[in-house]
Amino acid sequence: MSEPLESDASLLVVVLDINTSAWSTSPLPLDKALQQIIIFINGYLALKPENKLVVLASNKRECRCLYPVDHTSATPDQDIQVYEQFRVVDASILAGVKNMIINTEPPNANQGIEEAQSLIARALSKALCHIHRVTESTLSKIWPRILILSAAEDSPREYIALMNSIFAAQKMSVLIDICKIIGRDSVFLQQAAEISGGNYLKVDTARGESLLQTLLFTCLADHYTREILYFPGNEQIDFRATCFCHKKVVDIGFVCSVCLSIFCRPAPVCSTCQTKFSIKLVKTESALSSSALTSNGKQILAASEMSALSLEDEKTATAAK
Amino acid sequence: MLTLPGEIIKHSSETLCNKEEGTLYITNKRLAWCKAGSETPAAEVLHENFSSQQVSKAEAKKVMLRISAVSPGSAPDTAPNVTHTFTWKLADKNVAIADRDKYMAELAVITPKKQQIPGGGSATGTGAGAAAAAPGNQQGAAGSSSAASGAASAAGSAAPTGQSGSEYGKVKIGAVPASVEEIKLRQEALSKNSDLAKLHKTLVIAGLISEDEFWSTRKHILETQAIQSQLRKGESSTWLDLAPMTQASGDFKYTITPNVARRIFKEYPQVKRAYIDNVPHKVNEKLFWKKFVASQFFNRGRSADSAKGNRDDIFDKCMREEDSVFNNTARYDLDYLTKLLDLTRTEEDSVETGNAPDFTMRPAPMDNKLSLLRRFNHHSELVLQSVLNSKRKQTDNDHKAVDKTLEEATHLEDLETPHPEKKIKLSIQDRTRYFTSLSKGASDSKQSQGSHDLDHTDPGSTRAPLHVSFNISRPLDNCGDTQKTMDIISHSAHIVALQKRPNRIQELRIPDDINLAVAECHGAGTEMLRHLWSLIRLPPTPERQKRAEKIVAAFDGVHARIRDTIARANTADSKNAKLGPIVEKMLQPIAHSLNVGKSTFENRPRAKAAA
Repeated sequence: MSEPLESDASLLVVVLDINTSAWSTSPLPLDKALQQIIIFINGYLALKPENKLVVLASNKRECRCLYPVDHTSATPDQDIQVYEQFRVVDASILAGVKNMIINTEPPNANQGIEEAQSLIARALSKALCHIHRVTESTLSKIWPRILILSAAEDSPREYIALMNSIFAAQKMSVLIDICKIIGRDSVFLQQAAEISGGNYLKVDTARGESLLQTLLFTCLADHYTREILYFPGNEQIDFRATCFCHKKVVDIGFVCSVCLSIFCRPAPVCSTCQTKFSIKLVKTESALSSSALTSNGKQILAASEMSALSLEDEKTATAAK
Repeated sequence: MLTLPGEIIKHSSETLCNKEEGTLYITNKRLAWCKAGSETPAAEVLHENFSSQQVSKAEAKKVMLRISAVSPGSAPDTAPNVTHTFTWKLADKNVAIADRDKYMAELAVITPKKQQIPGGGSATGTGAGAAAAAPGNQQGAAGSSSAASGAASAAGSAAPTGQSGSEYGKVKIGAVPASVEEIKLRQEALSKNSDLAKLHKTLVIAGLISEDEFWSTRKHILETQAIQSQLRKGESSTWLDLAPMTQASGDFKYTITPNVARRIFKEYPQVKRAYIDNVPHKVNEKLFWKKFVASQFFNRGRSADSAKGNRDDIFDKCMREEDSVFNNTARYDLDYLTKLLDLTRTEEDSVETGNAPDFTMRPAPMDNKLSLLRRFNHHSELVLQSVLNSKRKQTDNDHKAVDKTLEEATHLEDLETPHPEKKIKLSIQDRTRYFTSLSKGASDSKQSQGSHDLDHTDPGSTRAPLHVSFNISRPLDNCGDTQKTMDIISHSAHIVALQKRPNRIQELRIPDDINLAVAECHGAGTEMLRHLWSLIRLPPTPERQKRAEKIVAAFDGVHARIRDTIARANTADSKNAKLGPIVEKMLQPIAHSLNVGKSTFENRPRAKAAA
């Protein structure tokens, strides 16, 4: 893998999440946000003439490519003094977003939590395919990255597909930056940024933070510049698992050796796969020694990220003998 | 012999010392040996200078006694540097042994307590590996002849290790008060591990923690030490190189211990056969080895010109045998070939020649090097054989076993009728549990469900704001508080930058002694805290309570040390003006932990009393 040069072009794929129910709860209205995003995109295009751009939009139903579009739509405002390249991009983005919003069906009352989830994994796969096609077809070296502007929540059913795309991106050395505009931190997207080497940012628009400022500061830099700059964020990502029975975070727990489901306390039967365990193999909670492994036994799981024993830590490593 | 006033002669015997005849006397004051016909002792060892004795084994040819002592007038506890060896010349060996044992008994009484080298400890290469060192290390003790005398050459520690290794097997570590073996183990562990020794010094010898408590959490170290000392080293696999020692008179001297002899026999089985045939009836053993060393067989590989040695009928036969063995290329037993050899493994080597006999694999024409190479190869074969499992060769020789393995190898499973395996179907109840458990704060999702339901009750009102048409040529009117955003972002980036920079502790320029003092405080504090927390966690008994109280009381000592270190830092003459506050900050975590420990411990009994 060669080192990025200053003169190398970049390919940016912007994934816009225009989930209507999520945006409707946002303190920053969608059009204002779009304005800022478009300014950011124009800024990116202005950096180098060779920079390439792809814009995808996704909501809970579909994922469409807004730019570059195959068909040429009529541009009514011909007399506006805007740089031609910017105008094409901006107009197609706006038109695409408008189309998607108009065509979305009104929400059903009994769909519940799935309303607020977008098809991020689908968008990510499309983005990666685009990237692959562009990098194969250009002669000079082009450095790809993805920017996800996320508004919706994590969708658990997409987990497998999302993780596969993230690992594929890692293999292709594609950086994934995440900018979370609305809502809580998303664990999956945090992991995406961590694994692929990008940044995870959360913009708190309720408190007046500026989306444009954040984007320009962090996401504008290309591969070459990123090696020189320090980026904000990146506190310790919590990779710990939660137990299946109570959904509490566990450091050390019990794992069924048949179905690999995690529990915080030993039980005679696994609640997921109905395997019976032989109780005499299961040691008590205080003993942190490893128990025997048989096909019916349990093994002790020591989750990752267990922080080193600090001086103030109560647990001792040599508690039981 | 002239006796000193008050001296009583207990035993006397006719012995040889330095190949001279004389009389050995043991008295209540000393051990003395006079030459025949002389009145004054030529060699004497006062009882207070005597350090250890060694005897030759019961079945050895000569009955010998060796005394080692410190030179007269030297301070106690110096290493012994004077040795005398006495040999009994009696025809009847048993009488000689009985005589010698009398001396042994006397000397055992006065042997200083520290070095109890047990009698019979002349390790004649019984796997203790002591004599594995090159025989050139033999103590050139005068009078010890080279053959079969079995005087241990290595330092005296080899013998006790070989002996005490078996003691450790029954040691129960952790017994209070510590047994003798455990103390020995502790000393060994400390001597092998310098970090542990340093920690031990600062904690135990300074009086902060008792010895037993120090070792109570380190039992695993002692256990591994015990197990390691029980391991017996195998024979050395180095190439045996008998190097001569040049004496003052210009003679060469080769020392051959039984261990060396064994290795020679292993390397050259023909020499072993020759030995068995000839010794002791045809040729005396000493003569045998003399001839061996002088022979052409031995000297053949040692110097460039091979004609250095003498011709000798025994060893010439050895030479001829060896050549015949090595020249015989058809060394494989045709009846019991391994039929399961994979011939395609060496296909690449013979692509050009195919199946024709390999004419490239001819030995070089240079003859003298050739034999040396062959011997090296033979040696390597022996080493590998001893390492690899040699059981495999045995099974191949049995006719029936060969047939059986052949049959098993040619059995094709694909041709059998397939037996369906008994399987249990995996039924997973609820697959989404794998994914929902991954999202952090999953319990919060239940709350958000409630809020979402609220939103969906009035869809009409939420629809309105989502219009996106704006004029792209108009500038952006407001994009949030950029100053605040910049502050937040740059602060976050600053923190990341600080974390990623390399450790700047050298810039603080803390003097070494203060560094050491800080490390000691930390070490002592953590050690005590470890004991305290483990005691708190276990169910309370009066004994544990007492121990915990003792530890808490000892905290004050550590606190005092901390204060002392800070005071020293404050008054230290250093370029760094803020040394005092910096050291205080460095010691702050340990002080805090000690306080937390103390308060937790004190709150516990109150909670129990209240309950």
